[in-house]
Amino acid sequence: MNYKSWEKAFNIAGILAVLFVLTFLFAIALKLFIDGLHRIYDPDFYLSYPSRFPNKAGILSAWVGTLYVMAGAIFWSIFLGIPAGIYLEEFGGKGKIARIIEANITNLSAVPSIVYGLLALGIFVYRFNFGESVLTAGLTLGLLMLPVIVVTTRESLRRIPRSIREGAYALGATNYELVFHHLLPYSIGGILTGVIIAISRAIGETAPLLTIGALTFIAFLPPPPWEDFLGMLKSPFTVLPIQIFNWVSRPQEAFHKNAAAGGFVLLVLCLLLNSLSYYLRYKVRKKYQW
Amino acid sequence: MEDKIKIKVENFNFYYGDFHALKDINMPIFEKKVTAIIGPSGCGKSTLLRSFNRMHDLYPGTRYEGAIYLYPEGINLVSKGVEPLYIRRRIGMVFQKPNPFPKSIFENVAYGLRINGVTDRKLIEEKVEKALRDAALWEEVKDRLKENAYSLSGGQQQRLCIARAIAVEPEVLLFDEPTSALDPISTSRVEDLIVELKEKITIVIVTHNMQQAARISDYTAFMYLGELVEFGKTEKIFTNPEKKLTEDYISGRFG
Repeated sequence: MNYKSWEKAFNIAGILAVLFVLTFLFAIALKLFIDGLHRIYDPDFYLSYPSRFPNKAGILSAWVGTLYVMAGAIFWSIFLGIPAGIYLEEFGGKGKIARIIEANITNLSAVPSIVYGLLALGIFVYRFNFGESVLTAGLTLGLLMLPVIVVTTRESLRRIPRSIREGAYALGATNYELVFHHLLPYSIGGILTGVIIAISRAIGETAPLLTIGALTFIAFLPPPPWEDFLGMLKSPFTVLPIQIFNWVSRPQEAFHKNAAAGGFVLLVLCLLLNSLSYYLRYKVRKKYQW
Repeated sequence: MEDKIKIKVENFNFYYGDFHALKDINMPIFEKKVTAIIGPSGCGKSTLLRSFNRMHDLYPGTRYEGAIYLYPEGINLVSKGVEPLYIRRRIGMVFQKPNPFPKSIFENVAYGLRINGVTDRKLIEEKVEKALRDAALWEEVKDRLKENAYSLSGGQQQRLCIARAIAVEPEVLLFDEPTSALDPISTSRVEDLIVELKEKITIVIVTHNMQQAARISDYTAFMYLGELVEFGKTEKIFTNPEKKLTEDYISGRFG
């Protein structure tokens, strides 16, 4: 009978652990919500620039900056990461060099983000002279997202059974046809999930962007891309996590409320992104099931 | 009248890395006949079959030596100068486990046509219908062509794979143990199908099932440990084989 009581104890311990984690997360969300309640429900919060006066300070420049920077990051990481993942998985072979590359890319996804910031500072800001701009920020976060995207692309491709590839080749398909008619459509669900996970990580990154010179008090917006694309790229900027950090570092209690509100907005954004990934995975799985 | 030769295997050897998998194979494949390749597991039947459409090219470390001539041109289809793509559009393959694409029934059959450059929509629809009819599947799927291929049963999926392969009107069709994953009723439908198809297409079928070979093939090749032991008309192989090894296998003394 002894093992039965051990099992019971183990089950209880497991449930308690889950409850603890859930409670903790829920408590954070709730605290942010309560503290920032007044500002969360204030539409001006979303439309105002930061200000000396906490009641007037808003996240406009922060969320617009986040949007532009993330757009850039998504662009780079997708257009470099997905083709790289496809090439490495399908045509890179299994030799020694291929395995070394795979190990290195997996390790890159564990590199602390501030290291990416230092890299970007040296290369993009100083050597290429892109300056402390939206372009640099997009490239930096893009680099950060790249290993995750490459790895998820490879994993998604791996799940496609070999028999499908053989079936396509047996009909006389070229490599190009195999990739674009079969592999990409069948793996797009997994790839998209990876993209969204990478976005969720990058959207909260503060350290690398501070390193490359994100501003913390910015009372203007970069020019809209449809008016002045190059100007937008070269413009100074800020992002949501940095704005939050700036507010929470101030002594006035009122700014802390702003920080809580900003934090809550960031949390909701992340939850929405994750829900989107679940939804996309569900839709794609319905379409292509093995 | 002499049967015409469609494929001639001449002094053919095949290596998986260092392993000498096929040894000095010499054998003809006759046009518009069914040739069965039989033998115990591991004798090299599938290896030989997959050489006909250069499937081994997909995997590293494989090496062809010797020649497999495809007629009427007489080109050596395993030579480095011949593009596998070109061969695969003339020689099709049906696999052991049905492997339809996760697309609609129609798109599965149409795929081969599309990559071969057929763009006219009417033409594609006609050829798809013809292929499905020839594969004895049309009546069962004509009302649900847009449905996912995976909604079909195993036997239907295999017939779909056959339709997919014949839609592009290949000269040769290779079957790699096509019924080993199917129930007896589906098996007999596929066998009937193969006998019908041979009027127009040269067929090579690898099978574990000796009785199947005896039922549907015109010629039989018996392989053992990578070598071709005996080749001849099916009737002769099964009633009066020349080699003792063949007779032992046929009568079930080993297998």
